[in-house]
Amino acid sequence: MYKIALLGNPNSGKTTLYNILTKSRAKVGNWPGVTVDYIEGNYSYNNDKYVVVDLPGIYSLSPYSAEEIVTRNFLFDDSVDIILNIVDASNFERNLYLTTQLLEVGKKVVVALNMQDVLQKQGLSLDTKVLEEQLGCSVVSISAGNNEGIKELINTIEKVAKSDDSAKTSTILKESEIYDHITNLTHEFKISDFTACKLLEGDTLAKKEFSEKFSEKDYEFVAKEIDILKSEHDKSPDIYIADLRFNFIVDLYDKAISKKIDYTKDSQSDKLDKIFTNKYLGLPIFALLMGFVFYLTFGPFGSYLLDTADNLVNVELVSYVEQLLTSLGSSDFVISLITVGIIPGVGMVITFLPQILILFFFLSIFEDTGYMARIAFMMDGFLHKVGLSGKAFVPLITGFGCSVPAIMSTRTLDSARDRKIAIIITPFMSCGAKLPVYIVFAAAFFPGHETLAVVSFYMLGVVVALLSALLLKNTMFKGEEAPFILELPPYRLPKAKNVGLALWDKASGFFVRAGKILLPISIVIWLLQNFDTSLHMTANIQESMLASVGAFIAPIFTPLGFGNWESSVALLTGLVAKEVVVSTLSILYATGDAGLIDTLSAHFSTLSAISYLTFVVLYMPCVAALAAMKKEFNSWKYALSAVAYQTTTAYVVALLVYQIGSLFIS
Amino acid sequence: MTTLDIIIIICAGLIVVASIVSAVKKVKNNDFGCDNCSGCKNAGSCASKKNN
Repeated sequence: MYKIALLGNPNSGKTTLYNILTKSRAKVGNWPGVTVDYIEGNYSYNNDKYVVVDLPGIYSLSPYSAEEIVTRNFLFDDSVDIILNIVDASNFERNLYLTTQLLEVGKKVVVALNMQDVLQKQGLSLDTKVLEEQLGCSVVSISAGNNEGIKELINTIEKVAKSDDSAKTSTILKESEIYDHITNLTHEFKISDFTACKLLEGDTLAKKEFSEKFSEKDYEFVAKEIDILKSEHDKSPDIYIADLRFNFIVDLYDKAISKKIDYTKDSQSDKLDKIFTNKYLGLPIFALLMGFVFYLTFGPFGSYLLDTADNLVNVELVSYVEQLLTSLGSSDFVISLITVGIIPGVGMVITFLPQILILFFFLSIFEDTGYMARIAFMMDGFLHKVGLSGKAFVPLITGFGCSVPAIMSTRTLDSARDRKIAIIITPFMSCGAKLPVYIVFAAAFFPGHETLAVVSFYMLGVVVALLSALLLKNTMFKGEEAPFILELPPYRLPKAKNVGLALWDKASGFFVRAGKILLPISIVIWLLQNFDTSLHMTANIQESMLASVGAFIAPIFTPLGFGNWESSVALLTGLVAKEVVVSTLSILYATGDAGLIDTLSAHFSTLSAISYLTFVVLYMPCVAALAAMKKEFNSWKYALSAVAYQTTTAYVVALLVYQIGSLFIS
Repeated sequence: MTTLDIIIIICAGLIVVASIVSAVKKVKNNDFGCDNCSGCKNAGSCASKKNN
């Protein structure tokens, strides 16, 4: 078995290559920071097993953020046999900086020169023979997006893995004056060339590791070498070493490239950026695009889809199943369990699938084309104003899909302060599971204005998240936000495969959740609704176990305008997963042919419905997100404090909405 | 009660018991991930386990 560490700059196509090699379907995005933890998969070739580990993208081996530290530590793991360095050939000079460092780690390196198709479109080519000679490792041209060059890459990996040659290290530093200083350190402390070089660069991680093994006096020896280097070259060693690397890269590029690029000419992406990231046009264009997407999803077309699906599931299917079971002589107990418990509970949420797919279809296109990264760029200034690094955009936007990966992606933030703020505010973003709740209330209380209603609740989450960041920045987490460097990927036409996979994942995940979460919960809710505390079946729902639990917590919500036990119970069950709110309300409120949308207005006024939705938007996330928060904070104290903050905020905002609203609406 | 009724009730019971057992396992192993999120399969420890 051979272990391959797949490594490269952010957005260089690592995950695409990983998916091809291991036949997996990990998420791929045209924006940096998609991979925040390592993913492991494997493939077999000529009876040998190769384990591929996809690591988060990094620009250099001098780490700043948590995920960069994960990557660097992993590289030095003894089990890693080969480093597969993926290099974006269309961004060769910047990508090769990492390569020059990887060649000093002392492991076998294979360079996969990706994005050949982009290079070819520019009428360019890179001579792999020249690259191999100069770098001292195998180089293979590939186009991961088009599945080209993969066979040759797999062959090369096998050849390198089985070769008895030991790993060659780069000659960049060995041929420079700095190598004498590196050797001084390696002889004195018996450390590797790599560690010695990092110490001279003033790398904080290397310094920390050094201080754990050696005394302060020993470090004085290192400091002396740094001082000598400074005086010899009139610049700090890290700058000097970076210069050495870049001079090597520029020289190598000149030798390997078929013709020079005229950087004075605007590329296609530059031309598009002049419009999409324009100071004045950028945000209005973004607002227009999002408006269009929301209108298509929740406007007349979306409503038509919802009505059709609702009618199909909650009327036609219920009536068909009822007739079928009656004709088969089933008892009332079973008929009620299926037609009042299971079908409304599971079916009500399933009916929202078409709208959810439309929304995520467009979001996938934004992501795959590279437009999402532009939105991050435009939001940077705004996020800085509320005390967040522009990088916080990644978890915030991921939060629209699901809070669990969004909370995990806060690892891409460089400072612990930024990370903590981002973890606390991310659940305010409306995840996909909250969408069914918005849709059903919008259809019931704002017919004809569904788009505006849904957008308003999305915006409420965003505004509260930003205000919370501002509040936390000025109270608990004082300090400066970390600077934000964002690479704008080139615009690409969306790949049908990527968009298709994103939609498939969404749809299949939806059905998996329906089966694993909604189905058992619907059964339990129906049982609790039909049995009293003495475990006798009751026709009077007010005597049921569910009513007893609900009646206990309902008074808490009376000042918010929805102090009935059914809506309170739905909030409680919603902690398992947010769409369960709709399932619960559907089981408790739907009667006969009238679905949930038709019956909601009998239980909520428009104002109390707004207050209820406000609470749903903001209150604590589901248990899975809570577990993710605990994992990222590495502390129950912080995780529970975050949950208390979110729920208190939800309560206060919903209270204000209802009480102030009551002054104007009788 | 018909045989079909009894089968339906047993199945419903098994579904509930299986989901409770699965939830207890998850809590014990601190393993909340892809199963509970919207199927995005974003990279993370959950995706890592899935790929294994």
